[in-house]
Amino acid sequence: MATQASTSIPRLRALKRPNAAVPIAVLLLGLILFWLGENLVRTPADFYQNFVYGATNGLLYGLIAIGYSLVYGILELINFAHGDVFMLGSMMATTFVGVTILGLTAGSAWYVLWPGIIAALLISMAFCGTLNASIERVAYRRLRTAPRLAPLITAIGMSFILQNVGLVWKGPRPISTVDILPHGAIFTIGGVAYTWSEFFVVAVTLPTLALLVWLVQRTRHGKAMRATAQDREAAAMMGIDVDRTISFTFLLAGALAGVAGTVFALYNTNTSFLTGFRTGLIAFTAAVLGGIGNLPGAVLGAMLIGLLEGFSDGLAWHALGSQWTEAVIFAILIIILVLRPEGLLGERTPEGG
Amino acid sequence: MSTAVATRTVLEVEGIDAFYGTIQALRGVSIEVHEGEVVTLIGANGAGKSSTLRAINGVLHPRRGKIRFEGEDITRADPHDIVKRGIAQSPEGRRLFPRMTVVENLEMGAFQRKDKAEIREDMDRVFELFPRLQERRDQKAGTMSGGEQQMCAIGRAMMARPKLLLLDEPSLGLAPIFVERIFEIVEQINKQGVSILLVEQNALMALDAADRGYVLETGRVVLADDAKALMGNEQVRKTYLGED
Amino acid sequence: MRDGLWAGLARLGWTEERWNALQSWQRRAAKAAIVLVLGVVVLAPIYGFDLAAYLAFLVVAVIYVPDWSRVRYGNYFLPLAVLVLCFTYPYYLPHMPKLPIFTAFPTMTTAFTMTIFVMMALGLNIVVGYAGLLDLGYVAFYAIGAYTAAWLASPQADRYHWSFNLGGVGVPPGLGGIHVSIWLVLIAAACLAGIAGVIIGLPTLRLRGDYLAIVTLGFGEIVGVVATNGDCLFQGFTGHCVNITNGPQGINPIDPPGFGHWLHAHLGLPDNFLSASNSLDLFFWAGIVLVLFVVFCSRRLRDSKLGRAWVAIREDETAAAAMGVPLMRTKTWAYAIGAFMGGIAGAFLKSEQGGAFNTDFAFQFSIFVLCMVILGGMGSIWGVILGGAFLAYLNIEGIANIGGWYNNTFGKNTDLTKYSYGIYGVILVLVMLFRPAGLIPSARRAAEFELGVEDQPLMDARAT
Repeated sequence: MATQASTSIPRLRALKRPNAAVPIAVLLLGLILFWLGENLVRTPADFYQNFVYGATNGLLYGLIAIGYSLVYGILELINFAHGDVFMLGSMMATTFVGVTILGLTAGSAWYVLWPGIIAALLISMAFCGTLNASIERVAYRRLRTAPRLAPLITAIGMSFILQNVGLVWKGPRPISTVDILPHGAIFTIGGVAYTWSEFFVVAVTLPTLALLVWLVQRTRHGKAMRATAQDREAAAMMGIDVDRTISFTFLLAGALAGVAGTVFALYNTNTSFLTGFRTGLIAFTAAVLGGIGNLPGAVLGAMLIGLLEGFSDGLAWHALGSQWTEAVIFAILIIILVLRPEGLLGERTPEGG
Repeated sequence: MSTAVATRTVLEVEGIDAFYGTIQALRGVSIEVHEGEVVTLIGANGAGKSSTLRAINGVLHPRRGKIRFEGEDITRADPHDIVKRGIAQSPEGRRLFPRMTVVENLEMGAFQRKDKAEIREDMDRVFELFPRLQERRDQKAGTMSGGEQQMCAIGRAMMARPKLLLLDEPSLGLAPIFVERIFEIVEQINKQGVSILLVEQNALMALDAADRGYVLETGRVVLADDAKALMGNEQVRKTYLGED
Repeated sequence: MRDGLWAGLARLGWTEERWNALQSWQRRAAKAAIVLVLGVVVLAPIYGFDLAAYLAFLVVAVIYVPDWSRVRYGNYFLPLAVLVLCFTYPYYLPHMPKLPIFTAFPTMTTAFTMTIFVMMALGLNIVVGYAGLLDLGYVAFYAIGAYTAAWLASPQADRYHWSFNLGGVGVPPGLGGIHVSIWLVLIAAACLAGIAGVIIGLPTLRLRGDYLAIVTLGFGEIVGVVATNGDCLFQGFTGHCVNITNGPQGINPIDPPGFGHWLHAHLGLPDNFLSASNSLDLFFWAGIVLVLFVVFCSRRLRDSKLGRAWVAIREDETAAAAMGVPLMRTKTWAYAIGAFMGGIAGAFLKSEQGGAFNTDFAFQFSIFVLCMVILGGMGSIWGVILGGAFLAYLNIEGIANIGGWYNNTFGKNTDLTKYSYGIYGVILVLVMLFRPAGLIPSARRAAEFELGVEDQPLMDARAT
């Protein structure tokens, strides 16, 4: 019944929508491109630097955004706690590579450093995946049939709880992660170096994304996820264990948050109990921008948001300045939701058909 | 029950009560399906036909009563477990996966099975039954017509190689020519040895295709008899076959 | 646990049936008796026998136990009794006994802030509880109310050389800026917040429930950023700073409330709350009067045609639209009215605190107010009042008190207030899992949680 209502009515709206959205979007886009071009001409070094910085962070946001998208695709739930799972992942990684456990330093030999980093990634993935799946089991599963607001409110509550876990664990101050990634330049454009530490983010993120796409598109679990996302009851009738599929989805989303947390901690060399809330909101905005439930969309949206954040933080000519970056991101979120709620890449499907 | 039953009982539903929240949907419903039979449940809207099916395939757990499949208790089993045991359903409203293609939908029907070669054979068999689906194999299910979707839903249920097939309102909202076609196919599937539990509002077609039938009213079984006998029953003729 | 308890009691001859067969006042009397016995057996040995405690218990029991609804006009008794207890609170507060765990009854300052939060919770209740729209940016309306008060009753406007006085009280001679009587400020703040509600609502309210939540969250965050950076806006356009919020320095002092000389001389109303000898009591009473106003509005709205339209939208938007309920208008009204009440509360709170600072308007604040509505029971006026009062108390002194008690008792040195948001998180989760309709649920909401609602929204963003 719901699907009938939702398939017919947006069609009617679709006839009206271009009138308002297209000119506004074109205008905004034009203004942004002009602004970027002007900045590129005036301060090329700043531009390149912030491009690299923004794109790198954008990839990280992508990993988190996919977590929101996966869960939203399957439960239609905005998992507010996701950002905080990521935050705990970054703390886990910080602790693991730090003095108390591995004691890695920038001077460690490569055969100590890289296995250590890989171990940190795996530990953090396992930790965040388990945590996320447990949250689903404890806090969301009972509310499957409740009105939609109920699990959303629970998710907000979980977010606060996890933030406090971070607070109790590491205290109110930001903690710094030991700086172990090599900072040598791979190449240089316009006097700006692209360093190995930035490449590290790419080298971890892209294979992870490829693995994820394969998992969702090709495997039995992925099929079960897609079917459950499209029609939960019908999926159960096909013999899919819906509860397990949902648990698996949370596990996967959590593992991605774990990867993101580790990479974030190593790349930015600090984290705090508030990191999750802010980063989570930005990543969520990215997911919405790309089209929530749509995996390639989440990555695209995250790249755009990351770049925007970088440019807004770092460019000088007629920029609002970094104190407004957050407001700009939320303004974009609102504009996107109001004008094109299905996001840039349209269809709300977890497989990104 | 008037028929002398020599064959094995596949499904036994024994006095189940089921609720939606505080609203009682089923009151002591008992039905049986024997091997190789087509059994139909008829009744008005809200009589409890679909609820009975939902209880059988584990989506709606009954509060009281027992459901047994091939002698084993499945009252509290999960839906996926029930599918594994050999009960497949073509649900009311078809419930295809709208953004998957026809082939993908059929593959989902065989989700519990691992025998790849036989799955392919079964898919060919489904395409034999429904040549229309063969033509549309790569089309997204959500974009097909109602009749085609219904075929796909039945085909999808067949892909599980069920021992018992539950069909919920297969004729709902279809053009008359499709309705006849669907009932022909039901008979064909039955001939392949699958027991069928058929829920229908179109009582005439249903009783015609069935061996036995149950009449449900407000969550209770009020009549249970041979399909032929039910067709002759005056009350049934008045209420469900629309005769004065 | 519940079943186990009954099994134990059944062994003593008290089955659940027998209990349910009792008259309702008998059941309440039994519960009160149990509380009394517990008090005497457990608390009295620790805290000593305190006559005031027994008197307080007696008063509560007399209100609680009898079946007032059977008496003529009895339905008015309970609200009236609560009201009398509230109004006389300043008089008996000094004689109140110590509380276990919480250690003390709320002070007058706390009690005043509680009334403000109850007001805000009631306002949010109209949006979330009645219309079923999740608003995560309620702080925006609080901020608008607060900054309205800050502009209309402080030296802030003197920056732009706008100065006049319209019934403002407690303004030192020679201080510039706009100084308007608090009662006019309240109206202005409420209206501005309401208008802001409409402006935010019009483009966003057609979104589905959780998208709406995100948009409101975004607005709330933007308001926070604007409050922080509002000391220098539009510099890029105008070449100089436009100062709206005075940024991190905040706007202060804001004039205190009062009725001014004329009303003081002729009607005996307090001239200036701040300089009166029973200043705290005056604030508290004014807060209660405002809460009464909000409760009155809530009740009338709930039982009105608009109120029924809200229920319809909440339970099945598609059906409501099919019945001719104008979705946008109905939702926007909910938003505007909720914002209106938030505006009043914000303005009055700031006029008591005497300053508006950017750090007051964080996202957490919205969640805090939401928490009150959820805990008390969405859609239930009594519940929301209870939830608001309780959480406000916890926030201002409760958690600190409990922390003190905990540290004293167990010899620890933990600062519990640091974890207050974790505590609210736990409250949200527990309430949702175990008592989703809240402490004092509205019958209708409880039924929705039991039966579910058709809350697939009509204006869906689905592109397929």
